[in-house]
Amino acid sequence: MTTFVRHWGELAAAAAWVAAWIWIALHIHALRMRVASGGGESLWADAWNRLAKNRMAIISAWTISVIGLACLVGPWLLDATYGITYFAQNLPLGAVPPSWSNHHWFGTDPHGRDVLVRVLVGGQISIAVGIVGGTVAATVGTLYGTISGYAGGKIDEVMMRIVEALYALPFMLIVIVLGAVLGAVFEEKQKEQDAADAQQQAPSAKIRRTESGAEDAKKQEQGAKGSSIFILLFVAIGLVAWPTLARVIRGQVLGLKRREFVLAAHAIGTSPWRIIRWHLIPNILGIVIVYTTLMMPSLVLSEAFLSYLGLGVPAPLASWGSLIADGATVMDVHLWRLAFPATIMCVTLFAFNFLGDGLRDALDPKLRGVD
Amino acid sequence: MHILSWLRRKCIMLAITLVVVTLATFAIMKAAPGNPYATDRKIEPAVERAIRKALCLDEPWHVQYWCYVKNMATGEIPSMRYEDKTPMSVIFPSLYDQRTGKQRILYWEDRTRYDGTKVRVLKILPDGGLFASFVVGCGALLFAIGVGVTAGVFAAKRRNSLIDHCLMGWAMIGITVPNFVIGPLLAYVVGTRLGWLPSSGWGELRHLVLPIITLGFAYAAYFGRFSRGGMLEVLNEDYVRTARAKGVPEWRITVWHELKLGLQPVVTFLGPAASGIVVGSIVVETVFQIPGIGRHLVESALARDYTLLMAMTVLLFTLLSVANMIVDLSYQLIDPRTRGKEATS
Amino acid sequence: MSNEEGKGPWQSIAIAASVAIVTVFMFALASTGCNKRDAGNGKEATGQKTAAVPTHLRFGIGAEPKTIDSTKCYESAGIEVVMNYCEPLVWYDQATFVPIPGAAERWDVSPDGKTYTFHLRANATWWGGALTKPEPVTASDFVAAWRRLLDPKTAAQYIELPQHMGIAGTTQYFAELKRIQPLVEKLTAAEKTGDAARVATLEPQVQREYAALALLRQGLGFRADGPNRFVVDLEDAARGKILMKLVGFPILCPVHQPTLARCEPRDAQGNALPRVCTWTDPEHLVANGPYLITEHVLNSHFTLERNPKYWDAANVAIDRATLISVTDEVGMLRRYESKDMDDTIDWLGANVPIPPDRIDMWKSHPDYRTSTLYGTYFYWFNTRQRPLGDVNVRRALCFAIDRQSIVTNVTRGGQVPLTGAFPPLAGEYSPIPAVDGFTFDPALAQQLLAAAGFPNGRGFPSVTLKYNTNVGHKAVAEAIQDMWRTHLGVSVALQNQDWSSFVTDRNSGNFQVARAGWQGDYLHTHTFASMFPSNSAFNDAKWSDPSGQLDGLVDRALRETDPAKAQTLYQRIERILVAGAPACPVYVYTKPDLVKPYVKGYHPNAKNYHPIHQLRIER
Repeated sequence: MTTFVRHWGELAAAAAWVAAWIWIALHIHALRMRVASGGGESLWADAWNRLAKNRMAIISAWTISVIGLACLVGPWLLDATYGITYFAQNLPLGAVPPSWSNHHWFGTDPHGRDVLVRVLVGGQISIAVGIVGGTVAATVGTLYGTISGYAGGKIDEVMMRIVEALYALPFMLIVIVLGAVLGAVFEEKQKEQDAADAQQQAPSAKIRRTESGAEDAKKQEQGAKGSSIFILLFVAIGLVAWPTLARVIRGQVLGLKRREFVLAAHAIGTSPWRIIRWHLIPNILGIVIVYTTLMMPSLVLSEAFLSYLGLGVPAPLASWGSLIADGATVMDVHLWRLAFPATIMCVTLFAFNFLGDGLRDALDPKLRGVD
Repeated sequence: MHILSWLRRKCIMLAITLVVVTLATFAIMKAAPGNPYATDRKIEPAVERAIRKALCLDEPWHVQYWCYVKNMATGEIPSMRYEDKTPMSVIFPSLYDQRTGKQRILYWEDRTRYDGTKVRVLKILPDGGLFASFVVGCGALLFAIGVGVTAGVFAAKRRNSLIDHCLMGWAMIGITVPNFVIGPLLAYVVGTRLGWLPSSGWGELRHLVLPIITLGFAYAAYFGRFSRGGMLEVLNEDYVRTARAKGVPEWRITVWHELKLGLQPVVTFLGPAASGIVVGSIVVETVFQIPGIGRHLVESALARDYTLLMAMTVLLFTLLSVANMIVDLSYQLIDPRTRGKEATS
Repeated sequence: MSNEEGKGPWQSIAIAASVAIVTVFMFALASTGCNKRDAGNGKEATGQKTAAVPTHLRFGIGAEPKTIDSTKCYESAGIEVVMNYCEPLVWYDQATFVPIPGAAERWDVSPDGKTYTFHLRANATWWGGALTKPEPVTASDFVAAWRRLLDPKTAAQYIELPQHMGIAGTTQYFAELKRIQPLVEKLTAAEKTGDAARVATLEPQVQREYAALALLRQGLGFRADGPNRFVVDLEDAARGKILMKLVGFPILCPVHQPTLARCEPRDAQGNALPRVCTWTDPEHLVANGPYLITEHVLNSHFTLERNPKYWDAANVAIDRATLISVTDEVGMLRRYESKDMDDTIDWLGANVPIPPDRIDMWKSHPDYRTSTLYGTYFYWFNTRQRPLGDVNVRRALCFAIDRQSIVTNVTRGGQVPLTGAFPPLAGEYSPIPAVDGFTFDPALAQQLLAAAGFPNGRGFPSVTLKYNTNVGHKAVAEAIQDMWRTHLGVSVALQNQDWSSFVTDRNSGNFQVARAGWQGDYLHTHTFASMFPSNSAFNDAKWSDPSGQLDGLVDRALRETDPAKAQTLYQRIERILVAGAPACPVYVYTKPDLVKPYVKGYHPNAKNYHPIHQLRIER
């Protein structure tokens, strides 16, 4: 029972994940049925149809969904059956190679922690980086690009100059410095909170005493996950990736702007915001999805690079990047610490790439070859 | 005429953005806690005051900013991380030996090994600094373009054959495996185990090979994919088929017609590739112990070395902007369709 | 990548096949370890063995030093370079640390033990840089260098060294320095806000104070008694031991005054003017030691060559040395193992650590040497933050650490677990027995935590443990985090910071638990004891002994001449520290090192002291 409680977050996310994929699959299936029975052929239906026929893309989609599910459900399974967690150390069993007998199928790291469960937990973080970062980049980039493209003239010029400036700067400088500054800012907030907690000691102490069981579990999570600075880091990685998207969206909007339906809407006096919201965005949504999917591997790799520099997730958490960075230094003595995380990360990134390619082929074959 | 006015506009833009970027970097750096001289032991206040005075740290912020900008030219304040050097001499080391007066760009060095054998070794830019990073970076870019475009064109011509799939498979590996894995792998296999090349070090031609491959591999993969995609676009265009029907030799078709337009996506990616190579040089210089300036990108921020950080930012931004300008210019020159029009991307 | 329908699976098979082939190829190569071809390059002349082949020593010094100015130097990497180009009054024997005549050929002690007279040798000379003929080294060179060290305007980190040695007048001098501190801070604040009026009032005052300080410096207990006699007066005789152990420290080397004045001019008030040149650059360096610096490639290496005018040049065995700045320790290990004559190194380096993952591989290797250093690894508790203000909490945390396990399984370097406060010093100090210190006692720890009001860790507030970004520190911190969680039910968050932020936070008290390491500056227990008095600048815990005895005991122990009595006093101090637990000791540093068999004269010692002129190469 306690294992359920400890992993409730992951299991909830796993349920949501499965639900999302089932919804997508059903949606595609329904569209295909409609097309096959000779029903209306909308742009979306056509696209989904093409996508569904692309075997690599389907395999990739399956791979991503299975790996995602494994990352979310795996730690709970390992905890329930063998009592293996990603943070519990077992120093005498440090750095042993993979073996069948002691249930460490991927071997252990020098602290005696199982590599398999750390790869799975790392997957949660790395895929989260891809999704959260991608969403942030997509949102900011779409808004920025649409406004810039639709406004035109001087506003467009200025906004594009800013984007060019950001495009040319290596993002490392920005993220590192952001990391240092955000870290300091976050600490200030933490200190204020601790001070406030200390002042209200009496009532909160009572509350603490009544919620012993769940509180213990939560404390363990809290203690293990440290400060949630890494969420801010995900956002930072995403924010640094938006210029590319903004430029592409702007190009698209410039093209769409001159189309008849937009001119018509403008003629009848629709406000710019409504035009953007109801006419432009639905038409560029496809491109946004494509480029976001194609951008996810580079976001995951950016996080890996930050982990290499020591600026990634705090210990004892791991991400694929930090596992690979650690493993690369010992590849001649403890190959399993590099081989397993690297293979799984590569397979996942392959899958994202193929899926993105498939989406691009499906949504606009004319886009092929352009990046 | 058009080109000149465009150039002038770009230069003005560069100057303005340079000021904005340096101000922003400076502001962020000052916002971060810490100082350049922090040590384990507490410092006497009098000592601390001396240090702070020498480093302009207690002046109002606009005086500080100007102090560091001016320092790039005068070199009065040493770098805070390397106290014996000025920021400019860290980035641009002296290219001649001040003791003997000999040049240190390309020269022969006589060496006697412990067993008595004498060798003459060709040394190239052994003082490192920007020159080392530049050589490795340019080498990586050339490697990426050379290998990547060749592979991409090859693959496009033999579309869907085994070669195509294998090459694109390698491209996928290049894109998904980080360079801090490829670097140590090459260093270990080729350097330590096989002994064909040194696993680390700097100063001779043989020290250049592995870093260039490590740094360029990912971008060769990108260029391969893009050139293949671009080539596929133009392979079946009418004017190409016409040329072939006219009897123009195959290689001429490839070079004159297909490459010029098929490489558009490659040219577009040059900017981000250069930027990525600059960031990747941090890893390569650490793994292969190259005394370049990549490490300063990270270290000067972490060590709060304001003087060096200012110099690095200005240098980097200028270099990248110039590179981007060259790319834009070549874009306009290559494709007559975009000439005379404002670039749309 | 475009996709033809139905060809998808073939694509993935082709990719998988090529990847598999390459991987297998690489594994095959890696595991067979093919013959290493000797990578010769360039043109080879006929391989005739010349009679005298110059000997060349290559080793690592650690990260690129901030400075190699002998007075301002601070890091061990820089000290490695400095100790070879400058010659202090004495050298030390690597094994026993008995002083060996250096710039001083002999020294006498006055009957009351308070005056030491060093007789400088007549043939010690300055050479290098722009000099056309060698100049003699005089006592005034030493006086000038020591005054430069004490001058706050030089901004030397080791400014307090003369006070540790007990030189007469230094207590008063540093008291003066402290006295003018508020004034200096006021002036700094006024300058910051741009308050010109206040600056105009305060500036002359501060200048007067600095001038008074300069005058004080002239009158301190070291002077030149003629060109060949350097006399040191101490405040009390017991410090003589510390003096002799410190006087060979490279920070106390002489400096060539004309070169210094030319490169770093000062104005009339002694303020530093903009630098003209760097006197440690190869083209300017004038040195009195066994080696001269001929090349410095930033972030790569220093090249040192034998100084032909050194008085003992005939006995310097190694002609040339390359001191390598290390960024990647694994890379250095690879170079050590390399069979390529041009790339290999002869000695890993006293400051280059072996990553814990690899120590086991090297432990049984004949090249492996290990020195137990005079330094400790521990964690400070900030006693001003709840719940760490409660001594029971601190002691509970300390008793819950299994130091043996950390040393065996995490750091793996043969480190010695430390349960008291002070490390052992051979022939001088034995610490309290291990059972009297912080043994690994989870039961006791739980009792103490319960007594503090947190049974089984219930209600324990969030505590963060800080460390500077480093693989080794991370490993130990994770292990301790896990031990506290398992044995006490206490959840501690880990936070790593870059060095600058970390040290700033630790120095300003912005932490709860922070990692610390302390290398003794000199071989005497006082260097550790001086961290704990309540008014010590190094007392990061802001802790004071409740019984009020500690401060007095530390002072008494320092001045005690009888070694047996000093031992008793220091042990008493240790017991007070175990009872009060301002810090949690973990282990005593060791330094594993790798030295090739043809390098002779190397002796492991507690200070990582290996001057090149004491080494030889015999192939």
